[in-house]
Amino acid sequence: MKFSIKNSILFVTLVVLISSCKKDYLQTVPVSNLSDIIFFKTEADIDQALSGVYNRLLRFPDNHNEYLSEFRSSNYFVPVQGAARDYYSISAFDLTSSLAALQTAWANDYDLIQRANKLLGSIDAIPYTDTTKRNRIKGEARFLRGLSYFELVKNFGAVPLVDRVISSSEALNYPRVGIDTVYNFIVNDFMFASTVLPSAYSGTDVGRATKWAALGMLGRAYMFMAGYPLNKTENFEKAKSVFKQVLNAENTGWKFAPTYAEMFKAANDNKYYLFEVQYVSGGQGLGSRIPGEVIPIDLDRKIVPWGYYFVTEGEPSQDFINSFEPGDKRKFVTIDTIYRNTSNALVRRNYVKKFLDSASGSTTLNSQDWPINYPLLRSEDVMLMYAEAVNETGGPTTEAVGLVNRIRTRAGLPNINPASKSEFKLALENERRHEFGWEGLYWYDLIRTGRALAVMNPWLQANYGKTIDETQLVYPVPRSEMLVRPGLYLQNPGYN
Amino acid sequence: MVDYYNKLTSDVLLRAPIPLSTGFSNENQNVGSVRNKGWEVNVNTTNVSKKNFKWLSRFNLSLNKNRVEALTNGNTPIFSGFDNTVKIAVGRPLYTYMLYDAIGVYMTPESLGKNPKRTATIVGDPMYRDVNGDGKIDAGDITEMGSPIPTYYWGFTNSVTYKRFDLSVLLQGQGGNKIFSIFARNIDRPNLGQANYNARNTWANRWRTVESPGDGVTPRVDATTASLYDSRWLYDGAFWKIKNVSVGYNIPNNLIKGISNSRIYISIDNLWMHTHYEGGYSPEAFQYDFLADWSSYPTAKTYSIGLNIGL
Repeated sequence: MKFSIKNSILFVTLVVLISSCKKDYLQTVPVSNLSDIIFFKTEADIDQALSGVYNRLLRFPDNHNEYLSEFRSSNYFVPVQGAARDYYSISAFDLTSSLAALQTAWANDYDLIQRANKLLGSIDAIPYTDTTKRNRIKGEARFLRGLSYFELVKNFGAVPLVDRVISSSEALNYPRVGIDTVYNFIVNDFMFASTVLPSAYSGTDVGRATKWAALGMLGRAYMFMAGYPLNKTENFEKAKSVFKQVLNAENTGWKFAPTYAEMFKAANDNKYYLFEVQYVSGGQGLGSRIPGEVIPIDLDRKIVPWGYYFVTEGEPSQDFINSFEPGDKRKFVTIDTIYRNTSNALVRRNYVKKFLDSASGSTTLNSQDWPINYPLLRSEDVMLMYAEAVNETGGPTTEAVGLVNRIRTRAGLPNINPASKSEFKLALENERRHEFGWEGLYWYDLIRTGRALAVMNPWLQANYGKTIDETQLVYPVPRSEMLVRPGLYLQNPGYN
Repeated sequence: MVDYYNKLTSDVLLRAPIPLSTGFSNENQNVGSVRNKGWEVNVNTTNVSKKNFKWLSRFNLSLNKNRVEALTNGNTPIFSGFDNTVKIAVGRPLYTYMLYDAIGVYMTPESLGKNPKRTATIVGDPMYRDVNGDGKIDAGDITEMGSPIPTYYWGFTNSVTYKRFDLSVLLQGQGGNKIFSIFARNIDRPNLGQANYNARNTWANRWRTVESPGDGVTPRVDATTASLYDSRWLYDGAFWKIKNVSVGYNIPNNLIKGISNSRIYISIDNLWMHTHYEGGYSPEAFQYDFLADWSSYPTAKTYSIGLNIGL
């Protein structure tokens, strides 16, 4: 129980929409229950509401980084299909709009957006002695709302764009808007956040979104706008300039970890990442599921005292494992190919061990209770995206290649010296795959760089005997949403 | 005695799905109006009435028709149930199952070639009915497959008294409804590892090869339809049962001094049920809140032995 942001996530505001009764004599605000009409009065109420927004981040790593990203990419494979599971449908490109994982992600993202909108719609009426604090909270809420829309637009393409609390009947006037409109909205949220958020926090506030987190995400949004499907390449220049601001803040705003492995230990939570999801053990639903997801069922209980969480049949693909260069220290931090089972025998099987910090297993109270934070943005990501933006706007420079080599040196690998823009582009793709293995970036990298079909199809042909086309680079709108009011949303091509 | 009723219920309050862009998946809404009409028949007869022997019968039957008359959202069908497997639509009973209609198995490559199919279909997959006749199977072929609301209920009681003995038997039944079983689907859909683990004996007659095609109903174990909802898990919900049997003996007054109006009896509840339902423990355990069978526990068979003593 280190940080109050973690603790206060417990007090999630329950906001009840009241809409059924139309007659005035029934329009009484219930006094025994909290409702949004009477709740927001003080700064403390807003603090709780903000914790409620942060709370929705807890499922981001499962919903997005793992299910919709790592499981979709050639980093993951289901060798034996023992059961019909979402992770198989995603991995084998055999999914329909009914897939539960899609609705889970869509619902959680819009829940976060609704909570942020509620806060943003209420905060201006609250008296604040310190308007800096009010602006900071607005910045945090808008940063988080931007993250949610970022996930939605990456996964579903065009989505309904809601910037205030709306009723169920108003929602029928919010169809899907263009991908570019969503990105412009995201850019505005991140840009606002980057102007009001502090460079650092102290005490119990550590872990909140910083200026560097907002700038980094802003740059990432520019990178996505510059790539497929919008291909607005003028955004590479914008990305370069915001990434540069983040890079200049090294040692004041962030630190470069001396070794790769230590970043993923619970003891180093809030030490190296630019932004991370805050997890805490204690059996209160505030822990991470990630460490116990893609592991063998019978992994030594000294490492995983409560066993695995749900995903049992899939594993990191051989393609991913073989793609590491010899001597890459990141390989066996990210995955392993042999394990000691509950009977103390050594067994061969690929599994993910990046976030499996055995030192923290003993503090967990169940398989979803790991206290290991999950990175949503790392300085290495900013370094490599900056190098990519530089390369896209003028080819490899000494500065850009130097950033890559700094990361490679830490990983125990020799320097690269790319001769051309295309060579450096492939080197960056490769570097990102290994630096961010199991952090949910690779699939979206392949899409935005226009490399998804070229990389995925040979692998899919070899492993699942099929190939995909462009329509499968986004997911379908969840079927439940298509049915609420037929015609409200148009389905993505290739799905029904 | 015969009663006829015709009742229109307006502003029916149901949990209705709303766009998640509000941040919520559903809210309680006055969704519309529902009409219930039907007949209720009660027949009470005294079959025998002698000094030492009496036989009374009571029979009741309810026939009910349930129909959605209007929906306040401009009559847009409302989807509910597990993964939208239930529809609430005007002109239909309050709940209508929406499923693929499984009509067999693609037994041969020729059968796969000439029949409508999904894009990923392979030989040995369940064959679905091409409801909209467009030559392919997709979400447009998910169709109305009946309602979980029974159209009739009946009860039949016979009580016989002979001297100091009495016997009463209560029979009960209902039907006209379908039950979709999520429970059955959870344990019995393809790709659950039937090849390696325990499975229902129906899988013994599954499609294996063109030469060994099974019973024409059971698909291959690795059929590609595991993520879909089809009528293979839809069952007839009809049953009748012996709800209660009780036998008693009235102890003569003053057999024991000071004891009068005393009775000793044996009573058995839920003695026996007749049903073809295979989707769960009992069609009677179906819970309307969930609109599907989630393996709810059946009513318990209860044996009671009692002694009433009047002082």
